[in-house]
Amino acid sequence: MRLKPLLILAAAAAGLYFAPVSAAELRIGFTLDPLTLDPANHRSRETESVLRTMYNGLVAHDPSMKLVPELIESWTWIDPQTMEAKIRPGVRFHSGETMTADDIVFTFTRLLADGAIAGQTSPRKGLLGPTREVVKLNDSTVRFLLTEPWPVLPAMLTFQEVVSKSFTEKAGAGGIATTEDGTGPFKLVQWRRGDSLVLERAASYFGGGPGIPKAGNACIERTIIKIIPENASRVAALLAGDVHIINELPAHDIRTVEANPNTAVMAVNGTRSFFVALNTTKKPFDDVRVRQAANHALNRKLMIDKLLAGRATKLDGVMSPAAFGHNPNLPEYAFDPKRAKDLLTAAGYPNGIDVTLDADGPQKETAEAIAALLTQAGIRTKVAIGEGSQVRTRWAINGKKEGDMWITSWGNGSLDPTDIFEPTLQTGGRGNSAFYSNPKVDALLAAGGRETDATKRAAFYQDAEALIHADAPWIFLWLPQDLYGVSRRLTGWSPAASGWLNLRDVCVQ
Amino acid sequence: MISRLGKLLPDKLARLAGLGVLAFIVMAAFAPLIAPQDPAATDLFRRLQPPAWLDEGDWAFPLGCDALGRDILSRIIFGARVSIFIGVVVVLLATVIGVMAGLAAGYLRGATDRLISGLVDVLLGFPYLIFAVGLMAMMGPGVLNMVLALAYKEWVVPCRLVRGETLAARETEYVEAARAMGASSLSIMVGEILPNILSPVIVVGTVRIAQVIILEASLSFLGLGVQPPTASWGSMVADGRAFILDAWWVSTFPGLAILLLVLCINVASQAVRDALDPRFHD
Repeated sequence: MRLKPLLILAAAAAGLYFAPVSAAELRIGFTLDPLTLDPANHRSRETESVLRTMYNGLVAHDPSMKLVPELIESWTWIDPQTMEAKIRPGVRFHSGETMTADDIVFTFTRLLADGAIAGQTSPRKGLLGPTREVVKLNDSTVRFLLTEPWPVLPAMLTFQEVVSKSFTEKAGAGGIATTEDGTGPFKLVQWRRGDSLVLERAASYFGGGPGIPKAGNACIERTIIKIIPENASRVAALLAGDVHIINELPAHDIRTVEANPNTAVMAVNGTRSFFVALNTTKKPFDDVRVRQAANHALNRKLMIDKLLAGRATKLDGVMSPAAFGHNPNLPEYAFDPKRAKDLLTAAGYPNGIDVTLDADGPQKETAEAIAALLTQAGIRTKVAIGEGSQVRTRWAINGKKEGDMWITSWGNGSLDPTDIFEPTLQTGGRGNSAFYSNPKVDALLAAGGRETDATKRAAFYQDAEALIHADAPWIFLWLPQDLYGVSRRLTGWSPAASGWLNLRDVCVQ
Repeated sequence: MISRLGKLLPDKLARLAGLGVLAFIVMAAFAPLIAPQDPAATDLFRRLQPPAWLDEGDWAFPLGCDALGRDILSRIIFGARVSIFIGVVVVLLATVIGVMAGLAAGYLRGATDRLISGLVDVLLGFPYLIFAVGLMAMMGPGVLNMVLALAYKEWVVPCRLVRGETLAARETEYVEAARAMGASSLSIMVGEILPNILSPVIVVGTVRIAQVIILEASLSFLGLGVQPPTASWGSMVADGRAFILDAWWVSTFPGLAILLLVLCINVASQAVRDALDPRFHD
């Protein structure tokens, strides 16, 4: 048969078609300007997404969110309180200097020591838990010393980026906040605050970790991250071809983006759990039956289908089904208004209850939908929209505990249970907005935090999640997908659950 | 011929505008009777349903539905209550305060005038919307707080007007005569000057109602207005902004309602000015 020449022709055509366009430019429409370029001085997911284009961490995620060493070659536990990391040789900063053990020790000292950033303590210190100190063993090895066993350390190291000691000392706290000297695939050319970041491919880039496929030839020379906070404008920029990637594509724009022949929707399972915190310290939600009634009153499937265009996973527990230690056997809080009314009657409220649902501006639509559905089931709900920080203060753990219910969310970027259970459900946790307290849960969380055996550790969290499910301190809602709109000219890119932009292999045809 | 037409046309326009204002007031007053649907009733199956004349439309929901499946027409009808109530109450409150302050400043002069005029100048230094946003952020959202936040600055407008008119009036013969007859300052201000300067105050008041309605819509648009599920035109426009690409009707119709009411008030108030202002009489 004459198939062979045809195949060769096809291959040649494909080769021509996919030949990288040199000096191409990638443009991204992004929701938020970075708060700072100092990797140690923020607690913002968006800031981290941008920083990760210029900086690397000791540990990263591969596309399936598995942990892989990045600036180190491996990690090993010497004992439950000591972890050793072998440094990857030949990694260079954008300035040309080689990364050393001293840079890593410096980075973590800056994160851990009080007042290390011009008198201010790093807001990322809490992400390092019981890490006491990082010490240099020799030129290629550092050790993490902990005050108590903390097996989640490698996962939590994905939240920290390594900075250059000499650059940081020279630039000072102000300099590192506005310029950079990272090890990442792109380096900063210019940051026009509130408008855009112009990045250029870094020739010095070492290529990435071994778990991540090797970087091919550089397709794009420049990346412009254009800050477009307004949803409609961001979508319009994508549709017009002004940008190639947009983050936070609103669910209701999916149809528009898919209908356009030049654009497509990309999604990744998110890591942020949405829930309605119920104030367990005062009537009527101090009664577990009322809290369960609220869970039965919501038609979450309908809400996900209509409000989120089906782009979310229904939750009956605390965290993502992809998270370590998730309990897959939790029963469902089925939509059942009759059962909700029966539970209310059993709790002594045969005529229903009157409550207020607090929400901030971005959650207004969801809050109004929840209120309407709860009201139908006898939980007559008013919505009170407040400014974000005001509402958060109202629901702070050391606040007055006056509210009834609050729609909020908690991100779990590490997909490890410590990161979400301890702040939101441990007695007195900083994000425990339901003011929930169950000694059994506290004991399980404490045990899980120390346990180094993965199977045993998972069991602790599964038990805790089952208890929490039954106690229902929240109305469990959903885990939305992170939605991105992309140009069909884009190749070599997929969204990451971590929110990182991962621009290393992107091509624009 | 042309001049007759020119006179008749604004007159007819003004009458039309007056009828328009009246229609909005009737709509607001009888909202529960007029509205085809419950403005707060949500139905997620009707999310972003288009207006009746488009595909998938339904005449039970003539202007379509918002993101929660609520009837837009009914929400506009109920929203007229908020806009007109706040417009009228704020201007009334501001006029009462402004007239008193303006009379005192213009008639008493001296330290009183310096104090009031100083305050007026300071308040005028702030952009209106930013001032109101600041106050609302401090006091929290709600109709009453919105009235207060707007009235805090709105009184400056009648105050300046009244002060100027009073300054002119206090030198007139009828005031001099009253003073000569031994009338007290208070009775001169209220009994003599006020009735003579009332018509410009009324004219400015009618114009300002339109301004306040726009400000109310702006504050609601920024999420500082009335609390859900109460409908307000400004917040309806804001809610629809997210869907402007694929569901234009959510923002457009309440926006048109704002436009129409403000236009009617402005045209009608021009007629009021023509009727009351002696300078415009032949």
